[in-house]
Amino acid sequence: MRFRLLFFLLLVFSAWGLSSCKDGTKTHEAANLEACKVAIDNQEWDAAVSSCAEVQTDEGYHLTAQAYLARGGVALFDVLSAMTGDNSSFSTLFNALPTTAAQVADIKLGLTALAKIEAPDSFVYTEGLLASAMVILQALKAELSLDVAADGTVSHCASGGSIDGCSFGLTLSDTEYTASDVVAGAVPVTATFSGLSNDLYNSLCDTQDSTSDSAKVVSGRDSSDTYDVNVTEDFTVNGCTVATTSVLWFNQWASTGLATTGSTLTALDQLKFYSSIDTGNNFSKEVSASLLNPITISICNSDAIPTTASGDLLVNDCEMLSFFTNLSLN
Amino acid sequence: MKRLLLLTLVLLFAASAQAVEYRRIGQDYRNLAMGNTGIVTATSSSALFYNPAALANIFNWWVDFPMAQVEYTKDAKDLYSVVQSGGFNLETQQEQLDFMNTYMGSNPHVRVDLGVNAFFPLSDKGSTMGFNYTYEAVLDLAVRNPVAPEIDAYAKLDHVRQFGFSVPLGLGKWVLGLSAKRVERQALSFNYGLQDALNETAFPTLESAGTQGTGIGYDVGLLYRAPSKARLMYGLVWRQKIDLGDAGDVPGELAAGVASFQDLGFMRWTAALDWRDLTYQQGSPGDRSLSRRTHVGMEFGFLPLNKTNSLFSLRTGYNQGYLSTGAEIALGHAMVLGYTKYTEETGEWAGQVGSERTIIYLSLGF
Repeated sequence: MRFRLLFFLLLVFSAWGLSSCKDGTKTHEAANLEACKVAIDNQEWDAAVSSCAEVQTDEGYHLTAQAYLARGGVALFDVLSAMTGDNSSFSTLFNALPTTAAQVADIKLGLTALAKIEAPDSFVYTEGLLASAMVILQALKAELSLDVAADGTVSHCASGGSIDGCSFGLTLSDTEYTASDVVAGAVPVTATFSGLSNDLYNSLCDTQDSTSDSAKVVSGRDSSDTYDVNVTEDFTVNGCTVATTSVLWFNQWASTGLATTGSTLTALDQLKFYSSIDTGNNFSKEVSASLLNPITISICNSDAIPTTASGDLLVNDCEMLSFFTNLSLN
Repeated sequence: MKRLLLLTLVLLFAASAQAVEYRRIGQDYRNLAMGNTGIVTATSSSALFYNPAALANIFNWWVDFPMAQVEYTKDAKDLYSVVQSGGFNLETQQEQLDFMNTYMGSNPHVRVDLGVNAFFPLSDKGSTMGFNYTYEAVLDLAVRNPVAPEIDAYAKLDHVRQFGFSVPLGLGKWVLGLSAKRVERQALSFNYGLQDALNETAFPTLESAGTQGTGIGYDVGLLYRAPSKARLMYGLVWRQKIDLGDAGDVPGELAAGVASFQDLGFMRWTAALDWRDLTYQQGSPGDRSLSRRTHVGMEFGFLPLNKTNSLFSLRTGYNQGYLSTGAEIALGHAMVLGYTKYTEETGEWAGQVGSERTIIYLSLGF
């Protein structure tokens, strides 16, 4: 009987020892992937980012990207769900735009991870397009006073095709002319354009540059056909080179990929911003106030501020203003 | 297909999925309550699934007709309630997205075993023949990844026929067991993600994505009954892999166990320790987790009715590091009612993702 009691106690203690017989940590390669998935399931984004980053496969890169995007506040599922079906809307997307620099940084890290995938499919490109578009829209939001209506239609200061209502509009120094205004036989007028914000280009391209010119003069007559009017273009045109780390580059990457792989989500086409921006278009404005015949003022001019070409990864105010006046999301 | 697809699966196959669980057929409520030990201690139809040499533990002829075992998780109960109240459809894109949204994080598991068993001891030294006829349906469903949801599903219906016998060698210290089993399987395994829903890919069904296969395999087992006060028994079993073609396989296995049986008059105590899958046939490549392959458990049988049954039994153990418990009331072989709570590892290492399961068992017989 004593032996049995001892044996029983021995077994109880053995069982107690084995009760803690859990691994407690990753034991093999597939465990890293599962740890990553579990962290995502649990919405533990910091843990997901670190776990997924250890999986150096396409699936690992993809999950890493999703973890970064989620930490950056991108609710992929909600946004994509809202863009499907007959009642697709940009409302959900617009209301989910990143609001902090940390969120934008995470989204860009997510995009970087997506771009590492060696064999991306249409969903990878869809995620890339959506995430890049959200950062782009956030950058445009402040510049253009973007807003979204209840029906999902997006409006902005240049919705009517004119930039006059925008803070960065082209301004003339004088539009009413008298004899006292005449200097050396003509009324000198200055057309001023100070350029879009540096923040916009830094947000879109990760770079920013600027070109100024105040030499070009365009001549006309005042509306009473009494005075010559010389309009001097005093322009500062900002721009950027699209860096391979930038959201515009990722937008271009995703757009190109989707063109190859295809997508049933037609609403995505409106988010292909790179191809809509880097068009080589030169924004011009017709000035007619107090003039006998309208004169056309182009922001870029061949004298000092060249127009950039389509798809050259160079973007400037000329293209951007042209993009603004044609921007429509619904 | 305007019907409830998952309802069909639940009723026919108990369906929805996990990818990294060690899948074994014929896991038994008693053994699972004892930490899924059974290489030495199996005393019922489970002997044919765990170790045919353990048929030597059966000393009375015995027929189960029928045997029924239902295993489920809490999520399965919730899903079943939804199905009962009208269910859901997964035919359209919107329905699929709604399902993903509603059931994100859900991980229902259902297993149903229905069968008939018969055992015929030919001597009191451990010479026993056993027959088993089992339908086993399993459904695992997991809705994962809240960022870009996906539905992992695994459903199978196994139709198992097996025969085995145990033969004492020499004076009876050693027992050799042999069994043969034929498995027919219908299976459905898929991953359906947000991408598929957006692309309007048709939701997989048994008709479109089901597989089936048939195979035969053999088990060879040994028991050594040590003549000592500790009444220790050692067991070893080798299981042949059964290839079921497109429908997967029943993995091969080498497993060992040790157990002690103590008869204390009004009470019988059994303790066991098993090491399963010693050749690493289960799990992902590189999975060498010993913790996940270690099982320990014990049983207290009160008011023994015969050499194998007690009127009332309590069981406990550790399965892959998780606590398991169980209880049983047995009116001889006429009626056995069992209840088990255990946790199965569905992650990649012991302790990562446990799936808490409940089993209810009922057999009638003579």
